[in-house]
Parts: sequence; C-alpha cells; structure tokens
Amino acid sequence: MSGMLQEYERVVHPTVLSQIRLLGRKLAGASVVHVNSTRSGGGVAEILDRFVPLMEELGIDVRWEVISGADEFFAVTKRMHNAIQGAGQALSDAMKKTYTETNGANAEVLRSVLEAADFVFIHDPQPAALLRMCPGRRGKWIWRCHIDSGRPERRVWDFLREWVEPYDASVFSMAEYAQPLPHPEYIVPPSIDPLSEKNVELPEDEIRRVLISFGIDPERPVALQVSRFDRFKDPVGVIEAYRLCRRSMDLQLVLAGGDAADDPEGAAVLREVREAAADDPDIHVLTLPSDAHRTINALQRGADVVIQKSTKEGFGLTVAEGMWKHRPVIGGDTGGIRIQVIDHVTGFRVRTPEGAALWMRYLVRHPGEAKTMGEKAYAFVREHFLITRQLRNELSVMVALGAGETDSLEVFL
Amino acid sequence: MTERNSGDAPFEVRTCELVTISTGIHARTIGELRQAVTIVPEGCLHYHFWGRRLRPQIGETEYFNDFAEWIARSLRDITLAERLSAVNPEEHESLEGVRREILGRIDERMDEDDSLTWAKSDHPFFFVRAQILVFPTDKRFSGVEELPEAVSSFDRGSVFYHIIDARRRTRAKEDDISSWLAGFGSRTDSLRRKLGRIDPFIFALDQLREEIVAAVRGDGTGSEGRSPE
Repeated sequence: MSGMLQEYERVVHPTVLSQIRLLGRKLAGASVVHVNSTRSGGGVAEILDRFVPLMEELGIDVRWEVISGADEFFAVTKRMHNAIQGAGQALSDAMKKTYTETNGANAEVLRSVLEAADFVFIHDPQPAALLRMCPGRRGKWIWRCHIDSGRPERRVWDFLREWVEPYDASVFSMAEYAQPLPHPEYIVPPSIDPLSEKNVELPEDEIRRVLISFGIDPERPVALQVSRFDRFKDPVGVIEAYRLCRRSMDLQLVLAGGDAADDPEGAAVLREVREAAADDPDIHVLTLPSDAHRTINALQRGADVVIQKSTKEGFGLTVAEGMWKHRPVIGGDTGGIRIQVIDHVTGFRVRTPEGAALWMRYLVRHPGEAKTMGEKAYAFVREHFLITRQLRNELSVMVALGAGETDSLEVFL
Repeated sequence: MTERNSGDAPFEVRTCELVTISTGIHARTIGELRQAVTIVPEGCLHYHFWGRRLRPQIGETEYFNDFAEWIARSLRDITLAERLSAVNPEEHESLEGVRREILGRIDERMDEDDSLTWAKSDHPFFFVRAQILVFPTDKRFSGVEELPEAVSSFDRGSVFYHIIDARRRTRAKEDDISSWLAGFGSRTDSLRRKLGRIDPFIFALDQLREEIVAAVRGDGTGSEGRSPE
C-alpha cells in the first residue's frame, strides 16, 4: 500500500515523517514478525492493522501472525488479562497447562518464521510463551505489553514472568506499568490514528445529522463521555455531575458505550446507569456497536464538553480522541489521563462529581476560553499522541536494541 | 563578507529523540526515594533533570527537576521541593555530585522534620533513563552571520542535542555552537563567552533557543526565563 505514510503529511510535522523514513532505511530489509491473538477487534489489532502496511512501505519485511486456540484457551487468557490488570483471579494448574499447550501448538506452526526473524514482537500475555518454544531463534524478541500491569495479581504475574524474562526487551505504555524484569523495558505511550474513521474531519451536516438521529438537540449544550459501561469509568458520577450543572444551566448529557451483551459486569453497570438517568429526556445513554467509529467521531465533534471521569484508567485514549477534536477534556486524575490532560491547559483533572460539574459549567459558560484550550489540546495531541509518534518510537526501540546498550546512538545511513 | 570557519566545516544541525527506559525502581516515600537515588545509574539522574524537558508537556512547570516536583505534588513538602529545585547540575563536575547534593538535601530536611518520613504518595515516583537517538536534518550553515536565523529554526530536539546533550557529550563540556565558533579563532571569543554565560538550567527549551538567538544577534539576553519545560 504505497504512499500511506505520505497521507500523514496532511496532519503531522514533516520532521516526524523524515525521521520515520530514516529509521526505516536503517531497518530496511530486516524481517519483523508481529504476533497477537486476534486479527480484528481491540486496540492491538487496530494498531497492527495500521503499523504493518506502514512498516512494509518503509521496506521492512513485516508479517503479522495470529495465534489460534480453543475457547478454553481464550477463557484462560482473558482471566490472565484481568489478573495482570489487578483483578485477583489465580490460575489453576489445568489453566496453566492449557495456556502452555496452546502456545506449544502454535509454536509448531510458527517456529520456522519466528526463528528466522530479525525482530519478533509478541503482543500481550496470550502468545508470550512462544519464545521459550523457539530455541533456534536468532533475532531480538520484544514483549509488547499493552495492558496496565502496574499492580498485577502476583501469582499470575509470577507465572507470566517465567515466560517473559528471557526476552531481549519489553515495551510498556507507561513507566507505571513496568514490572522489574532482567532486560531493558522501553516506555512507548499508545496513540490515536488521525486518519481513521474515529478521528478524521467530518462535515458539519453529518455531525448534526448524527446528533439529531439520537434525539440530541444540536442547538443546546452537550456534555459527552465515551467509554465502556464500567464502574472505573464512573458513568454514575458523570450523571451526578450533570445534575449539579442542571441546577443552574441548560445541558444535555450523552453517555456512549458498547452494548455489553457479552460482559455481565458491563450489563450490570449499564442497568445502574439507566436507573440513575431515570426518565430524564436530556440524558442519552447510547449503546453502540464496536465498529461505530464514525458515530463516536461525530458525537465527540458535536459535544461542547468531553469528559472521561475515570477513577482508574489504563491510558484512556478517548481523552486524546476528544482533544484531537479541539475539545478540552475533563478527566479523572488517574493513570494515563494525567499525561494527556495538562490541568487548566488542555483540560481539567478532577476527582469528584462536584469538580467535574464545576469545570463543565465553566467550559460551557466560557466558550472563548474553551476554544483556546481546545486548540492547545489539539496541538498537544498532534505533537505527542498520534500514531506517527508511536511508530517512530517503536522503530527507535528496534534500532536502539539492535545497537546494544548505549546511551547515545546516531541514526545515519 | 561571510566569516568562514577555519576548517571550512559547516555546522550540521541535528535533532534527537529520547527512547525512555524504565529502571523498574519506584518510590512512594521519601525514604524509598532516598534509597533509590543512591543506586540508580547516572543516566537516570540526567533524565530527571534534563531529559524531562523533551517529555509531553506544555509551558512551564514550577520546579526544575522531577524529584522536586514529585516531593511538592505528592509528598507536599514545599520546603524540600524548593531546596531540591535549586540543585543546579551545572554547578557540579559530574552527576555524582548532583546525587550527593540530592541526598544531602533530603537528609537535612529529614533531620529538621521527621513527619516527612511518614508521608506516602498515591502516585509513586518512577525512575526512568533514556537512550538518545540522534537524527540528521537538512539544515546546515557556514557563516557566523547565519547563526540567528539558523538557531531560530531549531526544533526542541535540536536545542536539546546541541545545547544540553553537548555539555555532557563533549570533552570541553560546552555547547556545539561554541565548539563550532572556536574554529573561527579568537574573533569569536566574545560571542563564545556570551554563550557560555547562558545557564540552560533555568530555561525551557524554547526559551533557551530565544536566549541563544538573542546572544548571537548581539542584543544581550532574550526572554526572562524562569523555569524549564
């Protein structure tokens, strides 16, 4: 897919692209294999979907392999995933056996490709055991952990650590997520893709049409939170903040998330949210399909105030998405939101519904200032949280790793 | 007429990116921070004093290094934060000296007020270090009179590489512009002295660029720099 990188010239500084091309020339001809557990759905597949063609365009010989397994295996890895994120669920011996055996079966299929590659990126815990099953490997192996592993369930982490220790390096999204490991642990924050359906510019009439289709009045102020129906996203707290605002001003609230059909806890939270919303016609609880990217985009662009009032958060890319739409974001003072929301500059960090309500009112009442902050928020995302920055970082990791332990490295041809 | 560098070597502008690496060490209390400062590599101290300036950030911060900022915001000891913020690496021969001064300041404060010992932060301090990746740019210049315009076009990575990193990288511990000017002989001594007097510690990268532009233009100091990015 030639010229894909060039498309980003419309939005990012040319220096970024020239650095990516330089790094690409340094790595040209290298064979790289990415391995994860799904071809579609979820953040990892989304990013690989973009990275793989971009790396190809740079002359890197890149492949994307997906491991397979029975439902039982994915039930185990889902449990591992939750445990690594801190939900206290240990693994039984049978579960560990399922994990190991499924990785073993995948190693039989992928071994020749993996052992021959110059760089192997293993994404998240699901395929992490592959390294030990490829004794003839010759390249650098990197474990790319996309999840919040800052406070893992210890017994599950101990099991996983056995598999990831022999890697040449790991990459975490934030320093907070890195666990002590006997190899370099690079920090590469995640990013948004400005050219994806979720983030491209939209015509005004499309934005209005989407708002109206959900019964939202485009002429009245709108506050929006986009996130799963999850207690840590505090949707009920957002409703409380909205009610505090409504004492003194007109406002509509939109809470947009997934339908939670396959997530019992999400369904319970959705029920609580609907109960809290009661019959208020100005609260719109939307359950959208997972591919409703353009709809989310329109909602974000149609909102006056974007909120992400999480009480616990991994990175919280919906914050960067909101900021990319020139909106200051009111975000919970936690996790990656703290990196994105520069308090009183690109938005406001809050810990309570009262704090959220205060700044919701402030932004609606001060449209000039909201606009100025929104421009700063957009510029901040443009410089730090776009996919081109992440690609440059990940290529840099490969170059740095190839060069060995050195503090300084010159990227020349 | 253009003044030429004696070796006729143009100044080739480079820029850089920091690849951040976790040390796996973190601290929640002043005691843990103190203990970690004793063992972390020098590169880690360099990052928390200098590398931080290339992090995602807008505008100025109140404190001049990450240790001071964390102590102020997380442990809420403004006295120690203020003292640590004043630790200027430029006043030390090496980062080992910086390390000793940080430890001394912490000890001094703990002797004064041991309630700090009990303070525990919700947001730990994470020690990181960085590898610097240096990139060429298509910018180069040959004459001293080109300096103001050339330096004005430096991005933040170029300012970091040529001014801050150079002081660690070069034997003379001076910025790359001064090193290059030395090639013109004694005619540039006065300008080199002027550049040498600019204290990069108290300027954000954008402000530092303005200071250098002002110096090479010959109109004295530029912005009233207050704090780093």
